[in-house]
Amino acid sequence: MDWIRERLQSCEDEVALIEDDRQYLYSDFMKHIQEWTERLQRDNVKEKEVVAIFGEFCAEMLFSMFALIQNGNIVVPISLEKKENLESMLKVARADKIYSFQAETIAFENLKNSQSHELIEQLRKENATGIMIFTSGSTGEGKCAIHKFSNLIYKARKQVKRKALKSLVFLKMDHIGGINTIFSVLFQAGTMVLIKDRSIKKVCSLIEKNQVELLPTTPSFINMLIISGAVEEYDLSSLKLITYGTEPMPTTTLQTISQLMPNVKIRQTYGLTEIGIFSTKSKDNSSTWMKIGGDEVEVEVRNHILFVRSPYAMLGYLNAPTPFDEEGWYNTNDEVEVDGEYFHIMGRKEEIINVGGEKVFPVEIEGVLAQLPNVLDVVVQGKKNPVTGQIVTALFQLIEDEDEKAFKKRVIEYCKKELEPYKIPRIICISDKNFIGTNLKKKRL
Amino acid sequence: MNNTFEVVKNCVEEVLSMNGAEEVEIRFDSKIVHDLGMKSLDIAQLIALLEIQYEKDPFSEGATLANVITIADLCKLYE
Repeated sequence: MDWIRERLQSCEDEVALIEDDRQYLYSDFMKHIQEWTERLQRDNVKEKEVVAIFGEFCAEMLFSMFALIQNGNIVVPISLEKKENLESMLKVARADKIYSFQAETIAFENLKNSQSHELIEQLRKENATGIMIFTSGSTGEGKCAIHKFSNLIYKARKQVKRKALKSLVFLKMDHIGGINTIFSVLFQAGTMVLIKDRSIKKVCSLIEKNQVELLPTTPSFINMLIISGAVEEYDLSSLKLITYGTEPMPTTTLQTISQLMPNVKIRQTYGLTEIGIFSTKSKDNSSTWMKIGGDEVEVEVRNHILFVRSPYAMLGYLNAPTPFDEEGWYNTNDEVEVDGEYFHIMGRKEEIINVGGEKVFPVEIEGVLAQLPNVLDVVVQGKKNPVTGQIVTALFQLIEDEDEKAFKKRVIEYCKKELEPYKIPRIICISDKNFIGTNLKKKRL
Repeated sequence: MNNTFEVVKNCVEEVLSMNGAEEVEIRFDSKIVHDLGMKSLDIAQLIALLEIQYEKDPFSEGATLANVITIADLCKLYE
């Protein structure tokens, strides 16, 4: 891992990291990694061991991750929100040791693990470092994807020609998008701005204060950015690029944000925990159509579903059968439309609602419904039905209280003008709960 | 039975008014399709509303749509 040290050393006078009011130059960053290397020795953390780092995403956690990678470990970042499943996650990961970062203290524990897994052994035999990432399963700990570190950062390692934009690390360290941001920025002499509170107010004030240039985020967050009026309230003029991924983008949201922030380039990214983040190229700023692939990554559409084959994909899951077919293709379960070289992600196959044989994509309906006045957020889902197989339901979160009957009437009148009958939500409910989960994606119940 | 009829009737009214249908008299023996003019999506919605109302899905418990011709047939499923 000498090249990492060399890469960081080559820009030692640049600012690597901003956390709260503290700035770390690349030289500081390396000093902290060295301190962590010494700590690992004191704690008898041996090469090739599986080490979990758990807690609120902070600079110390980041230093520890770099030190562990340099030490030849397999790292398992786990964010604080996963606290409930921590024990089972550690078991699945066959973690030998854990560092917990909570309330300014760092605790170390030897987990006395005696289990291993063939994929862990594979990495050990190759003398390779690794990173494990858990998918955000609807229940329990999710699936544990094990990646070879060199594969995960192949793109970031290659990019050296230009300095990375000053980026807000919006996605967390235990998310494939978060990992991608960290290495893309740090291997290109960029500056990362860390954030703990991902509320609109905090994100916008950090952008304003630190003159952030790149915001990697999710469509749900962009929606909130529009609805909250924060674009007018804060000075976000430093932003040059907003990237979004992780869930389908409603066309209306994309068009609105492009109008509100005409000087900001909006780019869609595409990636999955299992196969990493791919190179993409959007048709234009307000288009959800993009080219996917390159860098030896192959894409194929079978029966409207996107399949991907990449030499940089994960090795496999530690707690589920391999999702790759015999030829190494991965079924993304994303239904797509194709126009020449461009793809449009319609939605996850399992989220598509089938109303009497007609397909309804929740994200499309959500985009239409979100345009209604007094709507803060909306989740559209299918409900099993004996007549049409499924019907469309919509659960709204409102900005201000409104009479339910009058609201439903308003929704229906609007839908009749905007949607085909089978797409109109037949069950309309109002909730006071937040629909955006800890992964900053919309929660589909 | 009267109570069930009232609930079913309210749900039918909600569906019809939501979908802009002309006002029509809803009787116990009204035929759902022929008399009330309900289409498949309307009936789907009606059944979903009744499921929420009664927290019960008779169709997952063996009831079949073929036996639901009138409002009375529907009422029987929720009594």
